Parts: sequence; C-alpha cells; structure tokens
Amino acid sequence: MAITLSIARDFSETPGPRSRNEGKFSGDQFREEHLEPAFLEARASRQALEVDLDGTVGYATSFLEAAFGGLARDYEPGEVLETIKLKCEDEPSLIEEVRQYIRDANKSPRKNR
Amino acid sequence: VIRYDVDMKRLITLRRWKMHLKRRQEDELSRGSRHKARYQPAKRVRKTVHLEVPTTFSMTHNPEETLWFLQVLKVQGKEYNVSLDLTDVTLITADAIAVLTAFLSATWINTVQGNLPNDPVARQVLLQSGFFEHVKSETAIPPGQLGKIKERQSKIVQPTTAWNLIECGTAQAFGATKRSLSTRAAYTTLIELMNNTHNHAAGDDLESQTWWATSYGDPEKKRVCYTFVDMGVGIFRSVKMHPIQRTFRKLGFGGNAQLLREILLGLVESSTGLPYRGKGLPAIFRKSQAGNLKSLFIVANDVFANVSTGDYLTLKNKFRGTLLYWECEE
Repeated sequence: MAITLSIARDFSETPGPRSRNEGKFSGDQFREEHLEPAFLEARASRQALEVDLDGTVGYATSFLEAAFGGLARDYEPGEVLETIKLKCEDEPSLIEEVRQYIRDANKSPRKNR
Repeated sequence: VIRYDVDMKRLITLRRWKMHLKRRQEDELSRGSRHKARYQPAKRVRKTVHLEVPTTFSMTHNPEETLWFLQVLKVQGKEYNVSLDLTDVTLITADAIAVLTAFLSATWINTVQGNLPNDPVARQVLLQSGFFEHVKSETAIPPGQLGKIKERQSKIVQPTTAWNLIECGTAQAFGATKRSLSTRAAYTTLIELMNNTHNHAAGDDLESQTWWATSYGDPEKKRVCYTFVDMGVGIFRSVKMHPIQRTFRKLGFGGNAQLLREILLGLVESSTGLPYRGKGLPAIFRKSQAGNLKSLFIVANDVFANVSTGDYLTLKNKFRGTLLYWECEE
C-alpha cells in the first residue's frame, strides 16, 4: 500500500513558480500544503508516497526544485528518495530530473571560478 | 456675563451665517476660475515627425536595423508626436510587434500613429496582429481584423495566463487546443522567463519589471510562434561573476556572446549564489536541443543568438532588455 498524491488533481494543473511571492501555485506552496504532510504521513506509517506528475500542462524547473529539493533540504535527501516514488508518463525525463534535485539539495554553494 | 460658547453656537447655526459662508465660497471659486482663464498659457502644438520603419521589421531577421529604429523612436518620441511610415515594409514578424508593444508601454513616448504597408502580406500580418491597438491608424481598419496575436503582460508569474497563451496559439494553428511535449516545453519556458523577469530584470531597483508575452498560431505553417519580452537590465547583469572574470571581459576577452553560451550550458552561477538556483535558461536550452522548441532566438543587451543554429553574434545597437522568440510545431 502506498499513499498517493497527484499534483494535477490535488494541487493545480498549472504549477507555477518557486516561491509564493512570485505568483500562484508555487513550489513552496505545494511543498508546505501537500507534499510535506503526505511525506510525514508516509514516513510515520512506513509506507511509500507515490507522487503523480501527470496531468499538468508542464513544469518550471524552479517549481520542481522548490517542492522536492526544498523537502530534501528540510529532511534527509536519502530518506526523501527512499520514501517518494515518482510517476510521470507525460514527460518521463522529469523523474530523473526531480531525483537529481533531491540529491543536489544540500550541495554547498559553488566557489567562484 | 457673556457666555461665548452658547452665543457662538447660536451664531453658526443661524441661516444668515450659513448663507454668508456659501456666498463667500462661491465668490472665491469664481475668482479662481476667472484668474485661470486670464492667465492660461497658449496650448503648445507638438510637432509630428515621420519615421521610416525598416523594410524587414523583425528582431529575429533584421536585429540591427530594428534596434536602431527603436532607438530613434525613443529619442524622437520623447519630444514629438511620431508618424510611422510603414509603406515599404515587406516583412513584419510577431517578435517585432511584441517588442514594439513593450517598448511603447515601457517608454514615455508621445502619440504614435502609422499607415499600412503596400505589400499585401505584410499589410495582412499587421492588420491581424493587433498592432493598431497600440499605434493609431492613419486609415480606417476593416472590422474584425484585430487581435490575432494574443498578448499578455504582468509583473509576476502567471501560470494560467501562460497556459491561456498556449491554448490560444494551438487553437489557431491546429484548429483545437492540444497538449504535447512542445506545449509542455512552451509552458516551462514561459514560466521560467516570467520568474526571471520577476526576480532579476529590475536589477538594483526594488520594483519588479513588467513582462510581455505573445502567441500567434499560424494555420498555414502549422506552428505557434511565441515571443517574450522584458525591458529590464538584461541577462548579463543578473549573473554572478568572479571579479577577475569581470575584468577579463572588460578587457575584451570573452564578450557577452560567449557568456550567453555558458549560461545556457549551465556553467555560470546564479546571482543568488545558491547552487540549486539559475536552472531556468539551461532548461530552456535543453528543450531547444531536444527539438521541442524550434527556432529559438535570444536578444539581450548586445547579443543576438540563434540558439537553434548555434550562431551567437555581438550587436552594434544594444537592446535594453531581454527578448526570446521560439516556435512550436506540435
């Protein structure tokens, strides 16, 4: 059994920018109102959290980074990767992209070249 | 004993006192208007200058002449009314109309009017574009011809507006709204660009810049043309560079054209200094490389880039702002 979360159904078909002050349906809003509560519930009940990325009209990188990378900055990237299972048939390359955001979330700032 | 409070109260409630106040007010008003009428300066009639629009009016096909024209328009438009001579225009593209619209809204310019080109195709494009919603027509425009290019503007990220532009464009080009990898790429691009304008285009100013976006569905060529413009500081002032790197560039080693290549490849750090930021333009570049965005052009400051063919040129005439143009064929 897994907890499921669909971005199109539970949040918006038109996901927006990174943070709330930039516009509607932001990645921060999705993380705080949907992803984090579902993640905590899944973690507490030792279940997987299946996040369905299908059904939207597209995603900005900043939305995905703020939502999934943001979650990995608050919790452990390894734990986030282990708990969240991504589904995306509309644009399969997004799955690896999001996993990369989670892995890179705690990277230290680059040194100026 | 005089009781002032009671007497004053009686006085100001009297009808005679009220009438006195009313008459005094009317008298003052009429004296003011008489004075105004007597001393009003003579109305200045602003001169009208005629400006010839380049025969190829396009940021993507003829950037130098188009940018030169915009610079002249800015200078003349501040002083005089402007009459645009479009008679000899043979090619006018959606990106030029979008940039002119943005330019007229962002710059303080007097009345701008224009005529119609002799070339029938250019005339048709102009009539269908909504150009005359921003430029006064010198001749009567046939009804029902306006607004084929959908135009939107804002200062924040507007996801539903972005999707609305895509829906309108695909409906015009293909006869019905559709969703595909191309529409997803167009949506990603629009949101990334709105985000960049909101966060970086204003430079050191506190207030965000306005962006303008247009979509135009071409049913004959089965493609949707998108243009995104902001009149901000441009891409290059919103990236973080090491002081040595900046000095090198000032000395002429590696100009903005090279810098744009590096930004698109994700090699340049975001101005925020955070490693997880600044992924927008590289993502747009990847969508273009994957073929989901066709004919991607970027004009920013002194750089003109045909990203799809890999041509990056330095312009003589600079553009204060950022323009992206791309097409989607699915």
